[in-house]
Amino acid sequence: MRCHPSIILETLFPAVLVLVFIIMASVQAWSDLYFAIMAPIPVVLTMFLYWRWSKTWISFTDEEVVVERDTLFKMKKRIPYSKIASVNVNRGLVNRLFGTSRIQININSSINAAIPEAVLSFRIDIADSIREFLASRMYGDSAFTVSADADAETVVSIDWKDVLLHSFFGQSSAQMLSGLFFLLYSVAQIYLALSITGVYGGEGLLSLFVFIGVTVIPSVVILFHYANLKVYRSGDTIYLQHGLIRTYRTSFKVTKINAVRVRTTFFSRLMHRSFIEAEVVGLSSDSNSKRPILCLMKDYAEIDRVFSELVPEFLYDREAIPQPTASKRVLGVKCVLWLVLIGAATYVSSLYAERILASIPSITGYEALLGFTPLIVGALLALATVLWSVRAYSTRTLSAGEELFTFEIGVVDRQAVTISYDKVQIANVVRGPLARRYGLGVSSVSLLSSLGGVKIQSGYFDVGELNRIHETVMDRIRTGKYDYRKASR
Amino acid sequence: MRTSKEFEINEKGVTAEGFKTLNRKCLSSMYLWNVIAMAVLLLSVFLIYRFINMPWIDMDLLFTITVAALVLLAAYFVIGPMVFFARYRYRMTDDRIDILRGIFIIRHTVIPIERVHQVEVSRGPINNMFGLANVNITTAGGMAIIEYLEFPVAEEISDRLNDIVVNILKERE
Repeated sequence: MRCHPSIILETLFPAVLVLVFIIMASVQAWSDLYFAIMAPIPVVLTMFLYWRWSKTWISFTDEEVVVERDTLFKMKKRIPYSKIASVNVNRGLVNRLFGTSRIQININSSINAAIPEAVLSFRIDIADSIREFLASRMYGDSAFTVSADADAETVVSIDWKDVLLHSFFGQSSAQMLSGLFFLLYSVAQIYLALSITGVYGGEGLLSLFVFIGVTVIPSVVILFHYANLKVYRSGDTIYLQHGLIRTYRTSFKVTKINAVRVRTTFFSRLMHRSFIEAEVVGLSSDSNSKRPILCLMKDYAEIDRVFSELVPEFLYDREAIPQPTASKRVLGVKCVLWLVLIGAATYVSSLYAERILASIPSITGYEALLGFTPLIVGALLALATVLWSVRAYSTRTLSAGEELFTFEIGVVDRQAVTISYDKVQIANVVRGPLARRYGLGVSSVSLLSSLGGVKIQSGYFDVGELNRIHETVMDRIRTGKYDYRKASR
Repeated sequence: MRTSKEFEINEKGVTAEGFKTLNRKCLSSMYLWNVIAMAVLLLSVFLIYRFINMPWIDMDLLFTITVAALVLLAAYFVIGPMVFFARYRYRMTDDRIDILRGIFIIRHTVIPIERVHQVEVSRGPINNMFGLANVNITTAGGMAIIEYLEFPVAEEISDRLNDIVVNILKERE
């Protein structure tokens, strides 16, 4: 069978947009000859894409998906069902116009985990039946008794308030605070310009654009991406459905989850809310999100319930070990070193600011106060460093169970990452010169995530405790507790 | 150079826990690399001072900072390889690879052989001059490297690793 011909437009659309932009941007600089060269490009591109579409065939055998292309560059791609990690279906603007869906097939690979192995486009009903067929091949018939349909009941009900709160306060606190800083700065600039001169000459616009770029646009993207979120589990498979304009339908087996993160940001904690993310192998999330969100920001009790219903495999009796008292000294010395650095940078910046201001005699009034900016920024940074160091001691913990272990990490934005020993690829214990004196170290484990390899790092703990992580990994392999069949299913 | 107990080697050339040490030839390779890096850096600094005019910067202060940084870097380039050599240990058993290394920060890396996807022996031009090679071990979650091995040792480790991985896969069929 061939893909739906609308795939030609899907591919053509972005290329033509770029082309139009180039033509518009350089219209002044080029002559008619330029247009004569540029104008045929979309036509040639359309003909090429049509030729490629007509020569591309997809077949589904008993064992594999075969994508065959008989153009100048001949290609025959075989994707065995057993190697497929996930099948995602989503619908963009072109798909909606033509009543089609886009199917993305991802295989297990650390090299190109973010890039789908095959992207196919079919009429909605055909796409749905292909997805069901693939899922039954991947997971077995029983796993797909409930197909990804509109009637399936979601594990958690997400309303517009949840999506809005998540889109703004779910972003990192640094991003949020820097955005707010630029917004305040912009407001101050506009206010001062109006109150002093009475005439507005565009002051503060740049800061306002930075605020929009740093905070507003990412929030709107998340809002559009996660609107109408529906999440449910059928057998061993988790289904996600979301999106306002482009709808995303994703499914993956629980065995493909390597780690689950329960995250909070500074602002979400003020509202007693957290959210759940998963590290899923071979899942391409073709948008702003690096890892699939299983549940948007909800109150703690609701998050606990959703966690236990969606991923009970990642629940165990956690006994959180706090960082040893000696880690206070390591954090303290690090804090002092940072303070010295901040002090030196503040001193040098103040000297420069003073010199610059002295060379401009016309500066008076509030503008002269600019000389204090390095001092104020330095003092704020020093205060933040001290607060960070104090909190860094109490927020990080380590828990180790038989099959899972958890790192609680982060100071301002925090997360509890629960990891399966069987998914650890490389384990490191890192000891700095100061930590070594107290027998402390930091554990760093490498896993396969949706976007390739990812490293997760713990706080400071006794080296013996940290060594237990890789010893358990090895012990599970040696004694056969690690079941490779389960991991590759 | 004095080393802590975990790096101490016995008469057989291994630590109490069976970790092996590198061949001293690795020092020559590192020093040659450092000399080249220092020469490139000095040339860059000279060109910047000679041809780039920066009137808004206090050139005396910048010169002092640059000289201090270069002296520190030169000291690191001299001492670094010795510490690296003294603190580099590796071990390969039937089911895991351990690498213990670091100049200031000591990192103990454990790679279960069960997780190994690919093994590769690589030789850069400088290492090649001294008959040295690296063994690059790729897993699904990233890569680890055993550096500055003598070429036959690197080949032997690579072959042994490949054999173990193939055996694991055969057992599973």
